[in-house]
Amino acid sequence: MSTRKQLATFTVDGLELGIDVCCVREVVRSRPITEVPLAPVAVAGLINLRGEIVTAIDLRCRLSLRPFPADARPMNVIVHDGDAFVSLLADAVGDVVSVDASTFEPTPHTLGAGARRFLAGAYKLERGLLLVVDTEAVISATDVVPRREAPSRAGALGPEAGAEPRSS
Amino acid sequence: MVKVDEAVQEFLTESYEALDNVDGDLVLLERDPASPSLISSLFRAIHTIKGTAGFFDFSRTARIAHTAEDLLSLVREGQRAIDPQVINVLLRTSDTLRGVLVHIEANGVEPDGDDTRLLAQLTALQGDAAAVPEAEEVGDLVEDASAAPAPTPADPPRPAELEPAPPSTSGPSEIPRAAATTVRVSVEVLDRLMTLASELVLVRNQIVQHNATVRDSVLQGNAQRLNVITTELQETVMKSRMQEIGSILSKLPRAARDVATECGRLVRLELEGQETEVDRTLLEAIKDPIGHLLRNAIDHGIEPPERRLSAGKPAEGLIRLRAYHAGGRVNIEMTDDGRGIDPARVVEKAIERGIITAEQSARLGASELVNLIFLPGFSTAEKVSSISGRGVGMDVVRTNIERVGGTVTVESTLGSGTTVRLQVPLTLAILPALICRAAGGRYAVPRGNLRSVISVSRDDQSRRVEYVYGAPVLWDRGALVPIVCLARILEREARPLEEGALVVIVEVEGRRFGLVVDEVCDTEEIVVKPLGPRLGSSGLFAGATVLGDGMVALVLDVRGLGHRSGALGVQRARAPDVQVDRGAAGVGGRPRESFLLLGLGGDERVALRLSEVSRLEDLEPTAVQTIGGRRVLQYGREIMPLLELSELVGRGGGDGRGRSVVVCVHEGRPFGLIADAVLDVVDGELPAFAGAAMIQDRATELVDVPALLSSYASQLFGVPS
Repeated sequence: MSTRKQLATFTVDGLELGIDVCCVREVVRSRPITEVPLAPVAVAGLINLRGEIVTAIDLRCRLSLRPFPADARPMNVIVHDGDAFVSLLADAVGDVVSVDASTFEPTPHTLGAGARRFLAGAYKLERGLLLVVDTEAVISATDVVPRREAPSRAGALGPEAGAEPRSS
Repeated sequence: MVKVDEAVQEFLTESYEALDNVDGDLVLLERDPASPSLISSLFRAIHTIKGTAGFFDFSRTARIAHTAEDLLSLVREGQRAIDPQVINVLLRTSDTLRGVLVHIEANGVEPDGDDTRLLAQLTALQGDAAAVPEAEEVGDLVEDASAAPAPTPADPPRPAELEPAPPSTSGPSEIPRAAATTVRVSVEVLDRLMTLASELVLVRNQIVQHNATVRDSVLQGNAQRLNVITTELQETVMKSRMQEIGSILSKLPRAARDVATECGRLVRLELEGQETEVDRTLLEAIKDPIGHLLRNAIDHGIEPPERRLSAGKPAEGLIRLRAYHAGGRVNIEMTDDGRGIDPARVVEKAIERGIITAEQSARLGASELVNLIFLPGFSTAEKVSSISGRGVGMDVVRTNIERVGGTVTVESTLGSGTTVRLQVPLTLAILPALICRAAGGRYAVPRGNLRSVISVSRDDQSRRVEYVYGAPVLWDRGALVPIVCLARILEREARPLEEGALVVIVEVEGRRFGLVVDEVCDTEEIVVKPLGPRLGSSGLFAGATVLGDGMVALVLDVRGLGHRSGALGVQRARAPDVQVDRGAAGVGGRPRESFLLLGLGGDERVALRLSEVSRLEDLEPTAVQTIGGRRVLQYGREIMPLLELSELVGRGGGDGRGRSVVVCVHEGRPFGLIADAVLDVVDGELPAFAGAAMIQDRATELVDVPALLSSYASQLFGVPS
């Protein structure tokens, strides 16, 4: 008997990511971000969400992907971390996808270690792989220094020529 | 209706409440007659009414309650079981009491009435159940009770059939409940109200701001009304959160007694201003600091009784705690008549603990010395007592008070006593702030820290940036104020300091420094929201806020800024921006001072005491005028005479190539002393004899500026201009 899960999906630098719908409060269009000097590197800044001040986390940075282009207007995927709401910045938002829980796989090793750290696994879809975000890991990481990794190619999950092992 | 005084009103309110509890307990007891907790609760309620009624001389009330209490006492001890009879009589007692209270409320006195029957019933139940007297009143259900003497929990109770007996009052449902003048509101509701009011303030700010940019008379009118209403709502909500400071002060006399006993002191604590209102959230923040200050005062301030007597003081020490409102803030003063703070000992300990060096201490005035006690790691206790601990005291007190936007100051007279003054804002939630722009972002500076804003100008002496050891400073009200660039502290690109640059002078921990910003926008009332934990702990930000235009701005933590930039640095981790050279240690143990070392051409040098110098200027030859045969310089709105230092000290006439002007003020008039160059600002030892100071191992002539100017001035101004 197969259980199905609903995932809210969005894209970040060509990767398709998903989060369990029950964990996503809402998705909000791009809005101005106030930078916070000296904050951990993947913290893009603060946004005003109907009067509430919400921390926005740059998913591209967190997953060691290419940075947002200068004129980007990222969407805000609002999740809750137990204490407050947090926004995850994504390129674009997709549909809610229903997946068969039994098709869950571990995250492919073709992705750089920097990204794998924040992914819980993947579901195989017809159109490709849907990577499941480990929301808690994404929110709670406090790296101050950006991790240097070769950018992953959009959509290409074959053996990554550029993916270097993380130097410790 | 007779007006009853407040104490009686409170008695009434509490007693009504107690009677409500009694009724509730009795109803529950009918189903659970053996419940110890219900029985205790019942006993307590009646006991309280008895006590307070007695205090007010409401003898009828007291007598009824007393008799009921006797019965309940037996029940509590297990000598009388709860049965319907007991329940009924007690319910009737409750109604009787209620009736009496109503009368007191309306008339200020107890009603006359005959309680014989009730009291007899209560008494009878304490003895033989069968001795309960017959009831005569209609609807009195004593008949039912006497028909079933043995208590049986299975008996269905019929409280609904109860009717009160005393003729002087009406039935329970008809007794008009006195409207209480206060209500109890849960803390969560109050907090929610405050949050909503704060949000409204933010929206109001946004609307008002938008309103200023559009021409819409309908919006104008409504925005205006919204503004007025929001302000009043904010104030009223704030008022609802106010609590009397007495709620935390009332526990102090007992604490004082305990501490005094432990330390072997005799102390009397006097409290004044207990009705002073403070925001509920602030009460928590100041509770511990006040407790700590009290311990300090008793442990370190008040001397042992023998010492006091031999000093001519009464053996019992007095500590006065006074709370009052002033200047929009809550002031709490703790004054003791103890030994006071000895600046010399403070300095000694501070040097001993490496908090400050000897030469730095020499530059501090008496009041600044006393403030050394606020530095971490300080404690002058001869032995570390279990109470006041090891120097955990004053710096923690100050940190906690400043965290809520308050200040702590200390004044002391050796031998007479010490006063510590806490000042806290009336409320935490909303504070006025100056919005500035720097490094491409906007930042809020809390008004509490703000002193002034200066626009740097080369031409205006009072707004001119000087450089001491390469670090920029401003003279602000007679003191050197280090300047730091906000953009640089934020590790962003910074513009060089140039003409017209804006410097925001702030103060924290009693010290001032200047923040260079790009732009000063406006003042806003902001609601500070705490930053979450995942934004790092740079210590630079106190929180964030939403500005009138909807954008998020960070609120600066001025203290954190000061420490991180080194502008507030003492001698610990980071070196302060303004540092004075530490010369060789004083040999003769004489006081060390700062000297301005000036070159007079060639190898000649003289020194002036820095404390006698008002300003340093560069001499622009083109700015020198000759008036009446004397060279002068325009200085602000005054004409300042210029004197050649080398001439004055007898080294021959200057060669006119002097490039520095040392401005000294004598009797309110500025004088410009021309020197070839300013060589240094150094520490040296004051001369044992007038005339020379040991500076950098050279005996250097010390110019006695006041004497010099005094004789010159009489020459100069004795001549009619």
